[in-house]
Amino acid sequence: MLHYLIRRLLAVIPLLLIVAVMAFGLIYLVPGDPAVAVAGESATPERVEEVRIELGLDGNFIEQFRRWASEVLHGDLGTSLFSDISVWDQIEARLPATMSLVVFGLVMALIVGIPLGVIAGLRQGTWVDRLLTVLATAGIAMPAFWLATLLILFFAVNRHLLPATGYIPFSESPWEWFRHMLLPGLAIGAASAAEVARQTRSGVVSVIGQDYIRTSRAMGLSRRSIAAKHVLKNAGVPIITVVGLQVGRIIGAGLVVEQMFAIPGLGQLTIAAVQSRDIPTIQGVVLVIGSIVLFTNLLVDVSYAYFSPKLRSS
Amino acid sequence: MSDANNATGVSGEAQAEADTPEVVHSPGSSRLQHFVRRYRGEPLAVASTVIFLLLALIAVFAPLLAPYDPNDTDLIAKFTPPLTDGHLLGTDDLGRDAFSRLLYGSRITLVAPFIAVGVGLVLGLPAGLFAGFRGGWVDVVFSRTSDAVMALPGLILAIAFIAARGPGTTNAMIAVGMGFAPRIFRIVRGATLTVRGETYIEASRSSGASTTRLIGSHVFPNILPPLIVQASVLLGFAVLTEAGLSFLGIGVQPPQASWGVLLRRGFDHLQRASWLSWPPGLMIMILTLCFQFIGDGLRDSLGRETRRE
Amino acid sequence: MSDTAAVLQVKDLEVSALTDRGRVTIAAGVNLEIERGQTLALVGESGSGKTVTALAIMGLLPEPSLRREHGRIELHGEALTSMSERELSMLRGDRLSMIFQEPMTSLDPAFTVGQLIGEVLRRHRGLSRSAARAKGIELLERVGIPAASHRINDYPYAFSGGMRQRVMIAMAIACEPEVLIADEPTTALDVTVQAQILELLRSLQDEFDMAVLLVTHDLAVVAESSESVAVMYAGQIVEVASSDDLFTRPLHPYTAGLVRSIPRSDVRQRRLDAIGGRIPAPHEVAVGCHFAQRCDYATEQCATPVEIVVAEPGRRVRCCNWESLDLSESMK
Repeated sequence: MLHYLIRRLLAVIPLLLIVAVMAFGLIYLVPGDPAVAVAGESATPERVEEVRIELGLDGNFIEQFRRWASEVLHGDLGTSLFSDISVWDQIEARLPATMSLVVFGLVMALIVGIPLGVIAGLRQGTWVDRLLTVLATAGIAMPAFWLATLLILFFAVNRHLLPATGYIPFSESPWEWFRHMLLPGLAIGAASAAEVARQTRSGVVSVIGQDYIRTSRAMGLSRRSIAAKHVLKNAGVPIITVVGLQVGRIIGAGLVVEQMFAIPGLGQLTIAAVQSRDIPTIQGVVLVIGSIVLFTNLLVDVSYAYFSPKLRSS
Repeated sequence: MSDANNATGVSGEAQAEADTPEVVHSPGSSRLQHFVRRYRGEPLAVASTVIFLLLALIAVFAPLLAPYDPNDTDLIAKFTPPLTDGHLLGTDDLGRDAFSRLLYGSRITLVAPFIAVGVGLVLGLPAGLFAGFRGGWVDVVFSRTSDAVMALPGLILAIAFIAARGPGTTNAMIAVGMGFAPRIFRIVRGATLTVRGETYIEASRSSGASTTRLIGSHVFPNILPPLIVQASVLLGFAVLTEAGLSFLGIGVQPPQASWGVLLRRGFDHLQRASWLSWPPGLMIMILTLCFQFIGDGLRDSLGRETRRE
Repeated sequence: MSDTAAVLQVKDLEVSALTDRGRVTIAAGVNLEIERGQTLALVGESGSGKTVTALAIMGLLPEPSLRREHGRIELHGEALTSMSERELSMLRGDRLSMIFQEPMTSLDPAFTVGQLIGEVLRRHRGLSRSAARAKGIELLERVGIPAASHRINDYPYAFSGGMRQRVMIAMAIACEPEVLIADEPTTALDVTVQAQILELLRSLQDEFDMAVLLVTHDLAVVAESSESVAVMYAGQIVEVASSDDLFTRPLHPYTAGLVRSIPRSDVRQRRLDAIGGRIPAPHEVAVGCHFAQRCDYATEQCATPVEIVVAEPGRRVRCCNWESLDLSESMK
């Protein structure tokens, strides 16, 4: 088991490295001389050189990367070209809001998606199943930002039931935090809930036909314990896989939705950075998000050992 | 969502007890005809194909169908509600006819996903073949890179690319396509590995068949079905991602407009002109659903075929 | 066989299946009785309806594709067929158990053997976790699994086919059932293991005085382990007899054919005798005797529906010509 864990951990490291290379390499995508692009057309040659050094663009690629990487490992993601604040400080400040949203969306996807998927799977072919399938299909096709628009229209603009903007940290007021997270969380969680429901249903359907479920029934186990224990655990691998995939999706959708709800998260930071071509900030964001996703994948991988005990020995 | 194996509703036991009718292949029918016949039996897919073709026609004939020039501003008529003063869907904040903008917007919205998927194929297909055939450390490097790219959500990847290269439809779609490449890479690599492992390949090889010929006659037929299905799914993703990027203002740039851009405008004026948000949102959903159902239909009508082989 | 001695009684069971051609009857007029401490073998080729009968008794027919159309199944006179699913599930694994053909896929791979057995014990006997574990080890030892106290923590993947079958048996007899249904328990196993498993079942039957319904297509298995035999063909019981009588003096042409086709090591055979033709599909069965089209002795009367009759005390046969046939001749 430990063996398995270590192997999974080691497998992640090269991926992190590649993500870092991609983040770093971003600067090379900028057309022309990045230093000039950042310093401005009208900058003096000395200023351009300054910027070049600031950006760490002197020396060859390997040197640059090594320098950059060591800075990153020491927690220094560079300085934002736009605002002169440390990139990491900015990201750190905005991470809680984004993470709140992501967790909210994920939890929603789980508590709505899994039960609905199980019900649809257990009642395969009935009207319940068909209805849920239709809802799930529609949910996946709906862009989060459109759903957000509709939710705002319905709950905030006309009826003032829920706030349309803003973010209150959980530590300040859990209830207000919840009220502010509800609409945006719903908007991004819905599509994920639909994906999870779909996958759960399919997992349940394929497990239900298995011989060992028939054995469980033959041994007189109750329907509920068969569904809750045997079916779910064996369907666990595809379900947890799709849940893991939602993290990336939710982060992406979250970026847009944050804008709409004026939530001070990574989304706002990133958009502003794009508009001002603030490459260091973008690099920092890419690195942070990539790491979060890879870490999530690692957790999912590790969970496989729980759901499929055969893996523990391999 | 179909459970093809349970289509007849007969359990394994009863299947053994009851005879399954043999599928009769009419003499001389090609695989293509077979596929078409099966595809026709998928009502959702057929309906979606029809709708998509309709949308394509609308896109092509937009200039003829649109009552106004989509860029014609008319500040006196701004924020006209639908079905008033000759504006079917109302006007926006600059008095531009929403219906015309919707019609013209279909052009970019329909074309952009194909650019993205094209880029994905151009990057992923050769890489998959190369990695699959060569194996060894080439395969390892390519596979790890592909996994790393997949770790970044498509939107983030696109945003990063656009930050470096500047906004615009082409840049956005290239970025989205780069995000698709790993998925295509995986399929192609997988199929290539399978073919490589088949014993008849060894036989072919020993009789002197070149790698190209192997690719042509064995690998392609195997990768085509899953690739086609995946492409359809990716088209759906591309629609959503393009809309998202345009919504953020970094995708399609004015004076061009896609449905994503229209959605943004609608959102900006949600309180004053809520009618602007419905049509583009619904259309995006419909287009995405179309690609999804077409993909499902393709999977069902192609999938069984390959299994039978 | 008197009603009072029978632990399990199946009366007039009929099962239908949903196929491409709609609902088709795949078993009809099935009547069986098993007594305490006795093994009844239910024999037939695949497609005869024997597995479906076994599932119907347990109430495990996968609806809606398979369905019990009518029939009454009684356990000690209690009608299982009029019980709710909840009531039935309390009986299953407790007084009425079943083991299946494919041990490799019949154990949940996500749980340890101890957890699987423990689940049955806790459900039906309310044992605590530790008591269930102790009993589990005992059961594993009883079914012949070495190092039981260690193996109880193993997952199914760590066991071979024969061992998994033993685990399944342990689960099935954990609550000392009155009736055990074994659906082809040895078919998927190696020949050497087959004998061991049959031996184990025999010894468990003696210990708990269980009534056993042994579903099989293998007559050799029948000869070893059963007192009485019921032969099924194309959804109907065609003969019921004691095992001795069946092998020495079969009354139904199909039974004779089956017995004849067993490869024999004591007599030199120039070729194996097979029964010509194949089992008809459910929608193809004749209105009259289902076996008539393959039967060497068919007459005009065979085209009309044939009832099962009592030929002798303890023997039933579904053949209109049974009296006039002397099939033991063909056995020599």
